[in-house]
Amino acid sequence: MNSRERLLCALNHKEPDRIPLDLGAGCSCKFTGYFYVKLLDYFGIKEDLVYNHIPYQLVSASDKVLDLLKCDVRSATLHPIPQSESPYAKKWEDEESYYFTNGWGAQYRMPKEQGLYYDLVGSALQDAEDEEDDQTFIWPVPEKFPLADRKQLEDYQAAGFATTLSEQFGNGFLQQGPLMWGFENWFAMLLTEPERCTAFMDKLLEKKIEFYENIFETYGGVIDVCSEADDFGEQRGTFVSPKLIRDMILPYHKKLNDFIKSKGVPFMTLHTCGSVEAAIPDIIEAGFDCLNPVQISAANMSPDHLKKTYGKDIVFWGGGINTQSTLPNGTPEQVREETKRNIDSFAKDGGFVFSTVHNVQDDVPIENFIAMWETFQDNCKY
Amino acid sequence: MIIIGEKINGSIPSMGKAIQDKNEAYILECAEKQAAAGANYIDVCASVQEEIEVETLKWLIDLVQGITDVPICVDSPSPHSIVAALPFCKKVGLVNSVSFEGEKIDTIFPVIADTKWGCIALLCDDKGIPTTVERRLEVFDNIMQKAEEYKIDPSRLYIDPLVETLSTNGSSLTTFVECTREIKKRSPSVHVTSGLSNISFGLPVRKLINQAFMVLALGAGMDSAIIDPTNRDLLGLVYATKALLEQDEYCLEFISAFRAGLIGPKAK
Amino acid sequence: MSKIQEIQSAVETGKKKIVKELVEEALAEGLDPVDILNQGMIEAMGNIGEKFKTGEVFVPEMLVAARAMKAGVEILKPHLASKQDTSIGKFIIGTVQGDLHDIGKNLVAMMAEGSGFKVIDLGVDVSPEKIIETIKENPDCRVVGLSALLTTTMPSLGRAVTAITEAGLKNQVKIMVGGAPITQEFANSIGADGYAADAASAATLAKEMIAS
Repeated sequence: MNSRERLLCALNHKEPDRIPLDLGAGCSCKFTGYFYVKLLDYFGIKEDLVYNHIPYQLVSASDKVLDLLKCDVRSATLHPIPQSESPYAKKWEDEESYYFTNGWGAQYRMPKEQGLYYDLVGSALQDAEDEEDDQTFIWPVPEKFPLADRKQLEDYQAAGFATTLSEQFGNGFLQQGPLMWGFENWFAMLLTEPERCTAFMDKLLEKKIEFYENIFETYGGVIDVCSEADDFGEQRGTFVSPKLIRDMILPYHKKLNDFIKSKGVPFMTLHTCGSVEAAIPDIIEAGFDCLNPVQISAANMSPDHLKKTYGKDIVFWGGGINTQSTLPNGTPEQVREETKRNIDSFAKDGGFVFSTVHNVQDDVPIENFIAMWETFQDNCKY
Repeated sequence: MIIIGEKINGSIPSMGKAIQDKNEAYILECAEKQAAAGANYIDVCASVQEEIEVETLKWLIDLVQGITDVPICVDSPSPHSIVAALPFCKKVGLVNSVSFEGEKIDTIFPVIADTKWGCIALLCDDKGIPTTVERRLEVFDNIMQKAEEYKIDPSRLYIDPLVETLSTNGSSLTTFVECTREIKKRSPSVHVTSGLSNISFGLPVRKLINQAFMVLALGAGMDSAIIDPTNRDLLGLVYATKALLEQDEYCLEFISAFRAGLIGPKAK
Repeated sequence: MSKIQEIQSAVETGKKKIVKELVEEALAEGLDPVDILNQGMIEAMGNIGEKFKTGEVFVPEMLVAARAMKAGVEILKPHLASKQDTSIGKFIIGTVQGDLHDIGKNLVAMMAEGSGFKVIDLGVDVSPEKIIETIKENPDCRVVGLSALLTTTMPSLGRAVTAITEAGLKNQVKIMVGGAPITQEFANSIGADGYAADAASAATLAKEMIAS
């Protein structure tokens, strides 16, 4: 079985020869720059870092590293061709921090001292009071992609790898709003001014479809899995009520999923952090095939419960090791023990792609990462 | 009639000095007076070196917005400065301007495509201002085609057919009038505007020429102008002409403009 | 239903406009502004906090309730000013150095305010020096809440607690910590006085801290 057959088999809820592994390719299965350097040192490889997500400081892992890790999934390296000049985008710094504003007018800051990430500190519509004010927003125009880039994914598939697109246009339907109006304004608006929210999400859907049209112009027919990220949960439950997710948010995902699948992408993943258990039936209903990152440390997200209750209807892409405590702060022994336990819970009958719960961060000791990887290798065979 | 107040423009010497001296009081007064005179948009043009243009525009726009709710007409020869200045505006306004010169239209149109922003478009291209009516209308057709490509509704466009200096080009007005008539025929919902003062350059008593132009242009179908709305004579002519052209039922607007003290002899 | 009960229910359901009207009516009827605040609004926020803890309501419900209360307090303020300070104590709060996440921190601030604290919000990326300086400037403050969202800024939380202890301020203030990766064990290990898992528990804990 090659990697692609292995992944597609697991996504079809059948047991392949071994559990497919995704590190460094799928949405939120990536490495931060600092950690990637540790990994390069461990393998004794020299490489230039290619950052693909500035706010989270994530890098693109090279094929060489992914081969050494025996990963089954490869992602498209996008080279976007801008279709419009952004009135918001700019970069600057002062004595204390680095700043930038992206094409959505979201302003980010990273402290120079002890800062590891860029975080949101301002947004385009933070002072907007009504729909008329909202109309001053100037939408980013979805980029196009060089037709020649198609060859990268064709080559991956020919070499037997599964392919994924791990980028998307903006954030999800629930989570783009906070980047536009600020967290508190958006979440209050969802209750008090739902029509402003739906007007925005209507437009976002239109733009996302335009983005995927551009993607498929280049990559049509050579992507096995697409993913959309939209965080629904925090540690203890969903941010908003499951009913609101069901009635207001997921119908947009459903329409987008229908469109993407009509263009020949067989599988859709939803990346959604936190305790999302209460929303899983509706997530399945909206046409998602896989759930990521499966934050097993959050409330009601224990591997056994998830597998038993939803395992037949959704693939767990993630959930391999807790990145909030065990992977960064545990001992290698604890990492081995937890990795083994999670595999035992998730593996049966396929429907499981092993990955860390979210990106591997700077503070993860290389011994812990290797302990996880070795444990996976020892226990991945069906 | 859509009036774009022209006074906050750094190329006017007194305003240029105010901008250079950061004379906030002068600029605020200018903004307030134009708003009070009924301007629909307030044009803001920095006319400074490109390196400081965006920050100067921000400063001016913030000042104007601090004193009036009248939306801004963002004015710059550089399409990139215009794009950078749009987010400073708290209300949807106008872009001044695009034409078929260089990359102007291809820079501005994609940015405003999905908004409600209006845009002034000049009928000139890389070869300059076309001399014949036919050639100018060709530019017009090209602009409309671009607008359609970006799904910009004609009603968001303010076409300026351009006026040349009458003292050097005797057919300046007739060209303008023919263009205006044909534009309104081809696309009735498009607006026609003009920054008209150029017409009287090099002639004595310029305001007489400007006033006569205003009347004739309105007669041809012009429905917007970039003028000084605090100029009572010119504004009075606008109201009077609209009434005569059956565009002011029962002369109500004319009368209320008089009652509001906007036109006619100043009350003592 | 009494006017105060009406206010309570309007705050709980986040009806900002109605809260404003009801508070004005209550004042016109001669009700004691302190009662309106304590029994009408603070109690409502307490109820919302309880419901949030049990998962009956979610972040948006809590946000609109807090905003409704804020609108009511704006109307009450001039009437309270003549009386003595109605707050139950000061609460210094911030996200630690290197960390810019403020959502959880803001929710805690909101619930603490809703419980009657006067909240001094230092914002995000707050240095230990800044925290110490603020504690010294507010000798009557007895609670400090510190937040970290990232596994990578958890050490920064430890450094802040150590700095406050070394500055000899632990006899003045108690420190509570929180944030997604934080646990009771971690709180103990860095010498914090308490840990709260969510915004409502944090407000309850703060009240216990000033009572002890």
